[in-house]
Amino acid sequence: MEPRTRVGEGCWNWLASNRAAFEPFREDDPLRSKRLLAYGELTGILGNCLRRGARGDALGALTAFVRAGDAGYDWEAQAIRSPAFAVALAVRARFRIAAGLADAMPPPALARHVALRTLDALELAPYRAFELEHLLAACGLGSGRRTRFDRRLRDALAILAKPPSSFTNHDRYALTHLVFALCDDGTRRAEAVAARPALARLRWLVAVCGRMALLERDLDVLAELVSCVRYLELDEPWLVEAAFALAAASQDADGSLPTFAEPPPGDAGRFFERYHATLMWAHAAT
Amino acid sequence: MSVRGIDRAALLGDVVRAASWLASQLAAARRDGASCEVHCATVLGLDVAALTLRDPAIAGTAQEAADTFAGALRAGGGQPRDAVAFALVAALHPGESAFAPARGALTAAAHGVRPLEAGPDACAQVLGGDDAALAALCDRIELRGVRGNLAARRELGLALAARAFSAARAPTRSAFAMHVLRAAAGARLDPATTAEALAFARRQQRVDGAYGHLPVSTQTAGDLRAAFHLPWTVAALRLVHDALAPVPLVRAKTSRQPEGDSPSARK
Repeated sequence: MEPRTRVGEGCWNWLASNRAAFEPFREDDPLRSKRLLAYGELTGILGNCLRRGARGDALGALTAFVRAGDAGYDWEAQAIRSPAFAVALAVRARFRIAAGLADAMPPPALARHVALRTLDALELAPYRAFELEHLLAACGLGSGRRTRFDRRLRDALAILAKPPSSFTNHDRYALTHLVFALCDDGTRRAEAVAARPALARLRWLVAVCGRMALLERDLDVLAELVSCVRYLELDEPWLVEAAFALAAASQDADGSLPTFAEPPPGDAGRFFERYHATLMWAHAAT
Repeated sequence: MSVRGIDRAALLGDVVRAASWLASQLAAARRDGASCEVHCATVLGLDVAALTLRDPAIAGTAQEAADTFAGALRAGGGQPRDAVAFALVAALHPGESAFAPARGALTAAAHGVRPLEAGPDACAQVLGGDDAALAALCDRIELRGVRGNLAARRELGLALAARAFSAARAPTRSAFAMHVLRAAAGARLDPATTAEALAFARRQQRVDGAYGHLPVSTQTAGDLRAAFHLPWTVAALRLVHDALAPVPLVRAKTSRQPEGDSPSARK
């Protein structure tokens, strides 16, 4: 089996088998906030893959699992309590549309936040602020916000105006998330919203940071960069092949991949040490 | 040659400041004495700055530095460890008998070496080899260049950039990173990598014209300046020169042109 296929199938099967560990709705769960984050990431990636037409047993099982969360949680109440939750609400709205569960109507709580400009007061990292603008536009709430969109994009690009040797881990994820948002997760050409010189530098950064991640065997960010290569339509067969070969060689027998070279301190368990890289490689392979 | 996205005038201004710093190092070396290593690096840095700027005054300072270095060698000051730097100095000052032991070393190093074939094997070597193997590969690129189509050359350039910027995460390996970037820039592998390499060098320049930074809490005087800033400065100047010149300095000095000609004649 080709490394790409093996990595993809193994990752999706592991995610489906471990879907219960994403469940964030138990009030007494000491890991609830971590699970909520993981659940949000699963929702976003699933939505992306469904929008690009991906299907399969594992995706079906995961879609049903995330869909069941509609009844498990008062999403709107959380968004009213905390404006920052608007991001999760927008991601969920996009998932529901991609899964055929809803039409394109924006969630009312999100529309209310936009109308009252509460989201403009959020203190977010520049790439997160750009992601939010992108999500608002994707939810049909971008009208009259084009100037903000362009300004957020400029701010997000500005933090990457340094050599890759100075990139922190945060910067590398800022790069990948910026590309995801620019390309609407692979369904829009970046040229539609960004100027050529900025895109030329992003393309160079993705190509070089991808090789650096390969060299440093940083599987997690490598998976995101492989997706960026595809979204930016880079001609990088060598990098992609080498990346999948490394992922296949690093994949556990259960299909999962490690997120961290060294597990972080604290004992959150194997699931939290592996779900992110596994999710990102599933995404990259799909 | 112009480099897209780089302000050439600003870059040359950097070289002027670096040459000024090197001249101050020469004065300090004469006053306080210095190792052969320091003398050799100072001469090479000044020579490269003079060639890049085509500046006779800096060339004169380089000649003074070479005379000082030759004097130190005659006085039994040992031999520089950096054989390539010494060989370059010898090639740049063909009339100086004290440099005779290093003369011909570049030509000998180039003998039998073939251009590197850009392709998957070369990329794997760049990303997989240790520092010594990569340095040898970069020397080969500088001596003989790279063969391959545009895509393969770009691929090699990106691999070199990745390896260099990964190494440059550690401040003590920045001079090595500049060596790798210089090979990529000198071989014209990828215009974006050349521009990024020059921007990387520009960001390293200090207010006094030297390049590089010291580890936190290190005193900024005496041999430490020579140990940290001097190699970084020479590496940065060579990077700038090779990015702008028609051919890398090393290759120019191993070609058949008459010794002593400028390797980087430009309009």
